[in-house]
Amino acid sequence: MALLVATTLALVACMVMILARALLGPTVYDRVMAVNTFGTTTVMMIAMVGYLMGRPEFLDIAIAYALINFIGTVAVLKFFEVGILGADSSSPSEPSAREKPVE
Amino acid sequence: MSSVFLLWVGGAITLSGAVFCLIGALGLLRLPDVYARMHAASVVDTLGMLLLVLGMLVIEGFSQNALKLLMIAVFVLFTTPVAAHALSRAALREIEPQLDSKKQDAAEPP
Amino acid sequence: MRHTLYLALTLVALWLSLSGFFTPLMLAFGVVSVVTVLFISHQMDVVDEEGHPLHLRPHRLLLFWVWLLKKMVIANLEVARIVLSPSLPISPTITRVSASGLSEVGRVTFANAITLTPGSLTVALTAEGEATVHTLTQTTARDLATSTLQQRLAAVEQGWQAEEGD
Repeated sequence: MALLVATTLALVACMVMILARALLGPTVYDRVMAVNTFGTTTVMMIAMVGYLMGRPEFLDIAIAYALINFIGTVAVLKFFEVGILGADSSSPSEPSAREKPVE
Repeated sequence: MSSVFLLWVGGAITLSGAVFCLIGALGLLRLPDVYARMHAASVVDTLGMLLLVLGMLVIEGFSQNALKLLMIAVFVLFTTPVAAHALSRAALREIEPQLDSKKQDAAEPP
Repeated sequence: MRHTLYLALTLVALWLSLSGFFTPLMLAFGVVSVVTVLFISHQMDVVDEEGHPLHLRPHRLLLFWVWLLKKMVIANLEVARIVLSPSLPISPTITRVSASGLSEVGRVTFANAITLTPGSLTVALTAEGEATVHTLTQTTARDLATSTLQQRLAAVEQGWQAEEGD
């Protein structure tokens, strides 16, 4: 059990360091990348806390978080790339960036 | 007895995973530009995550929760490269990667 | 139709493994969920070869994953060594590698496998299958040039051309 506590503390330290990168930036992409990695450690953290407290039901939350993390990252990136979150996004700068070229 | 033993083995494996997460986080702070940092971030997302899941699998044994843990690992392994690719492609439009210019010609294939 | 069936089977397996309850009420909820997701997937027009690449050979795919896992561990240790060494011996390089001769799913797997191994990152992938890769060191770039990744993926999807004739 002591090892699980140590793991959780190490994960907390890891999350603090990643959060520092998210705050430092300097570009928006650094922040998005840091938040994405932060999400992965959060998923692991939720699962670890579940085992630490003897409640493995936390795993369901971890699964949901893993999926939301990915969708959130892609949504934020899409927003920064084309400035709109809807499906009908004819980008002003690079219209065909997300479609593969069709002959 | 045996479950206590498995708890220690699993705890050791999760701890090693957390150490890899720490190394990745350190790389995130130390490396110079966003592309280089992405390599460090993928240490957290691959080996760190896999070792943590493996350790929890050892503690858990065969059960429904083990299946959920495997599912988390597969989700993360499938989604992180996609997110990383989207990120790098978006970044490439604004940020020029810092390359090792002095030796680059030697490595570039003709 | 074949893809719909596979998607339905996958969804049922996912529901049963996540739920773990086998009471009639819970199973009815499961049926409703699966049908809803199938309907939405059809509306979104995502039930196709891309979502369920049936041309991949399962045992070869398993071998590929084991090989990739091994590569991943080695690359992780290498990046960890670089990050931990005080002088930070990095030499970022951009190289191009070819994934020609693979199907669309194969090319995406190719790019993702490169991204998944720390130390190399696919920043662009053309429709012809040329990937632009950012590597942390020149050694990684040189290893990538001699990598057997493309051949291994070709082995995974051996025979796909006969089906699609691309």
